[in-house]
Amino acid sequence: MLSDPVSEYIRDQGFPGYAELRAQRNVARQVSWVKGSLIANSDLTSQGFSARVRRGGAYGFASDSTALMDRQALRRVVTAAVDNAVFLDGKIRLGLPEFAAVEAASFRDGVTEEPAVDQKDLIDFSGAIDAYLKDRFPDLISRTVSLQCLNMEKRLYTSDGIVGHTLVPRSILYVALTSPDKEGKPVDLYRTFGGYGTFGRVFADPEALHDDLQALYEKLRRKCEGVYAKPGIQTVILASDLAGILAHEAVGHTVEADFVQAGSVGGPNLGREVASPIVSLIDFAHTAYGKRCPVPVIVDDEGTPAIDQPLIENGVLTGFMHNKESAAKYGHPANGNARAYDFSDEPLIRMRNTCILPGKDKLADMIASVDEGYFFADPVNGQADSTGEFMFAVNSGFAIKDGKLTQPLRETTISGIAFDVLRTVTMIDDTLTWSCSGMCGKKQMIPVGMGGPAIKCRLNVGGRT
Amino acid sequence: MDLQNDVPEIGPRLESIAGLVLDEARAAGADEAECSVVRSVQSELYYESGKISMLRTGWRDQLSIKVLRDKRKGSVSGNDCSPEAIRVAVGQAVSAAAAAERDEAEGIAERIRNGRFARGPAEPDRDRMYEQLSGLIEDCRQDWPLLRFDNAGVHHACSDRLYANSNGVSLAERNGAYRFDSLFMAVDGERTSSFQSIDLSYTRQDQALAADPNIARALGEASRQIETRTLDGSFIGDLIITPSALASFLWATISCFAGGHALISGTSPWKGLLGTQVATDDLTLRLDPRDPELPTGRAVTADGYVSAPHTVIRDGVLEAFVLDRYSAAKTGEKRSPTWALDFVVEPGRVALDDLIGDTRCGILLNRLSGGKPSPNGDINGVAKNSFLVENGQIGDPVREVMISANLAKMLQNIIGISRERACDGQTRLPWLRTGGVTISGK
Repeated sequence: MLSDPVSEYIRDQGFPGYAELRAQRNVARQVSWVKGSLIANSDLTSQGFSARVRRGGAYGFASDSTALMDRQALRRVVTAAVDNAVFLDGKIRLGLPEFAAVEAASFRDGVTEEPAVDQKDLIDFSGAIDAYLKDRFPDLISRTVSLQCLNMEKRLYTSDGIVGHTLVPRSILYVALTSPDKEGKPVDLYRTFGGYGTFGRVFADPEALHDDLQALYEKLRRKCEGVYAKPGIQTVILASDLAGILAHEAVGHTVEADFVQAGSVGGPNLGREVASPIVSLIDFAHTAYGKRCPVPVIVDDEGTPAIDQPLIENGVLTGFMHNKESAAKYGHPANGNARAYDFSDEPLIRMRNTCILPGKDKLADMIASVDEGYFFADPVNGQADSTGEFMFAVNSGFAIKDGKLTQPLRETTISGIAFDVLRTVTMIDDTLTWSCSGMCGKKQMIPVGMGGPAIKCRLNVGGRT
Repeated sequence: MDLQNDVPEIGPRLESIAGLVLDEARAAGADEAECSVVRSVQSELYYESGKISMLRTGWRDQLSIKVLRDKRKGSVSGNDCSPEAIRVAVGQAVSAAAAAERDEAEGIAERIRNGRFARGPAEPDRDRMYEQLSGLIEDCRQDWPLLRFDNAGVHHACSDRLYANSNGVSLAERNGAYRFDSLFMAVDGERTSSFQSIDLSYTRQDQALAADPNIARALGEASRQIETRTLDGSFIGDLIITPSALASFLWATISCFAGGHALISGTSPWKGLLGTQVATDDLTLRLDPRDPELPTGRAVTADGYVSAPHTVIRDGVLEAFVLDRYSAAKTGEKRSPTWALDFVVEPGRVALDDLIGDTRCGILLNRLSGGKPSPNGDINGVAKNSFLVENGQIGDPVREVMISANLAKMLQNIIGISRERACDGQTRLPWLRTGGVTISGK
């Protein structure tokens, strides 16, 4: 468990005005195999202490990796944060008021005495997966098996009287297979398994994954026979994993308040219809439909209790995601979206678990409703833009003809203007699936949850003539 | 880059930590061991939400340990460099090695020559950092009033790094540099341009940021990108790739064709092609950590060798792969003297105006927002901050335009490389025009 020299410091020294004091430890374990070679076998710990102080609207921040073990270093961090705030306040002289006081409270979540997993267990598990792939599918050109376990533990103390101790574990198995197409050129496909939880709770027996690995291989073989999609505007069914990335990239980033303030398309559209009336979208804090979300946040890194933030309700854009400063500026409540990845990072406005809400349709009926179009699945990554234009790389799919899946597809890219595409949504599947391995990059990388049902819409497909 | 035999500030503490690691590893039964000890200090002045909002100072230790027993590897990395933490970390690494598979390619750097290096300013000038950032904000208000910064930062970082191993290798370097990065867009009422980013490294603070040609070009172009047009249908055309976009194409090329993972996994289509023509003869690409205009270049590789410039493609011929010690041993190929991506492409033969002027139909590409390339080099993405070029003229900025191509074919189809180059402190690159690319609109 993360040590706690901060409470002792506060007892001795108190808070230097508005301040957030945070001790944090990220433990990232990784075991990776490429064609049977163990290329990564590592245990990375990043731990330290940070202080953020506010003077007249200017923030001073400081951090040190030695401060959890060295009381002098801890004091130096707080002094440096105050010094930085005073320096900057002396330059910019904004004279902003203090934040409104909040009720003192304590939060504790996910902290466990569970013993740390032995690296040998990670090697044995992932090695067994690799051995199965080698024996079962000898025609593969290449295979990559990577087991990645990340535990993020934080202790937060704020001058408002907020005390938080949280631990969010995540265990992900990444399997990528490469097979030759009929011309001998490599074609790849990957899948991730796992999600919230420690290794021992998420992965019990490698054999439990054999059926899924067989399915992945068969999907890859179909992709090797695949064709490229035709470029242009098409009717598509996006599988639930793609709907999740649509919610995150296409909408979520444009309604983060910092991006709104810089001029993103989200700002002018607050209160307007931006999607079909059957579309609703929420950034969940920690629980959705009675179940734990992939990245549960109960208190953010500014000490704001985390609550769900509706973003689109029945097609209308109804909210932004905030930190304390943007919430005060817009006159909205802060909702617990200020998160930092590493001890040396300051809190930024980040998404948590962003999701299009399930609808009333069945996936089979959705496919049957398409005369000519595509079914897309397996996003690789995605990116948002201030204009609302988004892009996803898609790794597999099928052509649809007369309501039936026909030819398998090779990889492609899909794009559109977020709100234009959401206005074309006519059907939404009734099942919510979370994608649990997402990482979002915005100055700092951070784990995020993305979720969705399958949706039917029209968008731009990048293909080959 | 200065080679200094005695930089006393780097030595004592890091030497002591490294010595303790190697002693513990020997005592724990490791056959071989290596470690990297880094102490870094970072300062950052950050602009966000309409104001210079934060000044940051960060101190960080970073210790990375690798041990080998019977060619089995275990690695541990952390921040805690206390003797007790080192003892525990070495124990964890040895345990991890015991559970690992034997790999004949595993090893550590052999001793060639030891040395100490130093480069760039060790201490930040906070007042000058503030002048630069506030000056840029003010210059933008006057010269580009439609511009909005989502964020902008002036950073200074200085790191002391020591690599040491049980072969007696001891290499240390100190690197100090400033960096400016920013995400910005142009806004006019409810209309906004695509966001654009810039990342620039430098060692001297004597010029205003707005005077830097990379920054001036990016900020000037952004203001023109509010009104965009779509394209109808799709066609085969040319891409004129700007220096800011070319780095990512080169990264993808190395990753798919010339890097360790692609060669170990067997997916590289360039395996067995050393000495063959992989591009037109006007392309010469090297990695150059010693280029005096690239302050991010490192004197010591992460796996414990003194770095040196490394030519990958010369006159279009594949001269070498990009391999660290392990990848070279695994594949039987030659180790690269550097594998950090400090790209330098030699100037071409064509003036930039002529490169554009000869283009019948294509895209002047500033950024490709795309997914990971496929193993055979297929790429797809959306052209961002980019302009339509028709009959030799740069026309309207475009939106919702997708590019589909293959990296290997792009190199074979190079039409011209500009004589002019841009340097952002991390790369020095020209404009490159290639043909045969699928460009599709609505």
